[in-house]
Amino acid sequence: MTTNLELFDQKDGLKTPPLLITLSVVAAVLMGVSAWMVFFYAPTEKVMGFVQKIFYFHVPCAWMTLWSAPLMAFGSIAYLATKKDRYDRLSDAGVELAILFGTLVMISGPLWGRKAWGVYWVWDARLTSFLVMVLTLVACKIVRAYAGPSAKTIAAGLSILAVVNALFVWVSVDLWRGTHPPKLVATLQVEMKQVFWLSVLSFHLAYFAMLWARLRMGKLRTALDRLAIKSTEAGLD
Amino acid sequence: MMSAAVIHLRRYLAFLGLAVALGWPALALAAGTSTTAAPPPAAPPPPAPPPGFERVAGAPDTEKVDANQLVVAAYAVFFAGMFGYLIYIARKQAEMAKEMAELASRIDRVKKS
Amino acid sequence: MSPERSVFGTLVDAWRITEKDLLVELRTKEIVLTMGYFGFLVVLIFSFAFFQDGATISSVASGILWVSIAFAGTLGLGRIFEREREGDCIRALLLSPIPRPSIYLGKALGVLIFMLVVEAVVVPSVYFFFNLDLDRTRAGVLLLTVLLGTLGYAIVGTLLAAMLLRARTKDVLLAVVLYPLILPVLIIGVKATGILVQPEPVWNELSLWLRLLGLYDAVFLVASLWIFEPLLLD
Repeated sequence: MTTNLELFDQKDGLKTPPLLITLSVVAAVLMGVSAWMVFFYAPTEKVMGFVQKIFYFHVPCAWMTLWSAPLMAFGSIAYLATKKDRYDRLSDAGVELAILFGTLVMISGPLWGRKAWGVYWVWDARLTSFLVMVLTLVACKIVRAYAGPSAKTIAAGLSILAVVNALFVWVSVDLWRGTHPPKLVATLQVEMKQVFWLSVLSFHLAYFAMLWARLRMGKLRTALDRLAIKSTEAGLD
Repeated sequence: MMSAAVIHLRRYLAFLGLAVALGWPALALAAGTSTTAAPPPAAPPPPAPPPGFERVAGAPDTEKVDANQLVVAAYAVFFAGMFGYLIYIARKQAEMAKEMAELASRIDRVKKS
Repeated sequence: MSPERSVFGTLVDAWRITEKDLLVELRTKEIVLTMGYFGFLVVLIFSFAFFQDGATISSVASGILWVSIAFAGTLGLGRIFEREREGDCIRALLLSPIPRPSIYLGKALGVLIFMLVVEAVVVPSVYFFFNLDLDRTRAGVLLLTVLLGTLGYAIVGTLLAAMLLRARTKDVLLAVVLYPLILPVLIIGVKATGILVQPEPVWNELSLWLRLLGLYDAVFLVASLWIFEPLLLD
């Protein structure tokens, strides 16, 4: 009898699922196509000029960050309610993806702002909300790494607070007069819209590929931990 | 169990009310100060909200800023970030899967002997 | 599971916790003295850091004010919960028939009161070192701004300090975790106070910032009451 691999099927359980690989490849190709279209298909915008091209990837990145928020809120609340590792992994994956895409948003945004506003950064409501959310989530990862046994609970609480904080600033966007451009998608030209929606699609595919891979990684980690306990029980060091 | 949940819900609803009750006077008070405490020399009204593309006051001239460099840098960061993350996950997964397989086979060997 | 109590009963219980903290503090005066002295020192250090051409630059005063409050507050937050951990008092507190929200509210109120006492030192020293003027209207509005900002700080800070109670290296983690979450309060507070120290305050804008502070307080009070209980269950 061979040893049970915990959360994975015995037969080929440890191999990366072919669908995941396919999804990743398709997403990567589509992403390349969108980038190509951004530069060679979409017309250059009249007011902003060439720098507007950042928009096609900047906005989908922001959307992906926002996608992560309900994901980790759900994961964290479910974890606090049930204390099941599964939900903790979901919340952790959401946090990591939000950090990734949020960072991309906050690097590309200032690069655009340098040209449009003349400065890299302004303390506008939307910029602040993104910054605050990403900073809190980084703190969340730090807690996970260093807080010891109660880290999962604390991380869950923190990611809920991060979402609440982002919601607060989101609500206050109207009150807090901003510098950030309002929603522009509806005002785009047809070619611009085509490119934009293609890049939105490729970002969604990439997001789900990353989420899947990240969830799988969390599962592997849990299984590995359990297996390590088993090996100690079996008398291995 | 169900009743406990209901009790919780009721208590949280009550606290929601409490928070609103505490929050609104603060808002009303804050709103009130602007009307009652308006100084005699009429303050100039704040400028209309910009459409989002105006230069920040006091910022250096943006004509000289090279847009190409900015766009290239932004796209480099997009791709480096996303592919970097994907590669990181893939390598980590392969590493852990290998470790697990190794560990499982070692446990098997110990069990057999 | 804590017994069900009415909202009023919960508040009464919360006040008992605060009373206990105040009583302990009145005997030792440890937290308020250390916090207050530290806050004063921070203001002092900033005032000579920004000292140029024979006078301190007064336009940075509002930033200094809130940074000093934030620094001093972290010191107090860590201490007020450390006190509960000594002799495992927190276990007794959690075992007592007091609803968890009362413990949270009571602690938060205690933190608020301590911080207000400290601000009674910090705010005047900022006005002293940075040569600022203060008339009656401004003093009132300043009081309201500081009160709302501190309330938000106490609401979030107490929750985080309680959450980290059992964590390893919690002193370091508290600062790392608290400042990102409290950033909106600091930004709004700095903007509001910045308007107040100008010769001609723009009152409309000030009222906007104050409303935002009130909104922050309300939102986070509700959120904290929601998640305090599951976070402290084990």
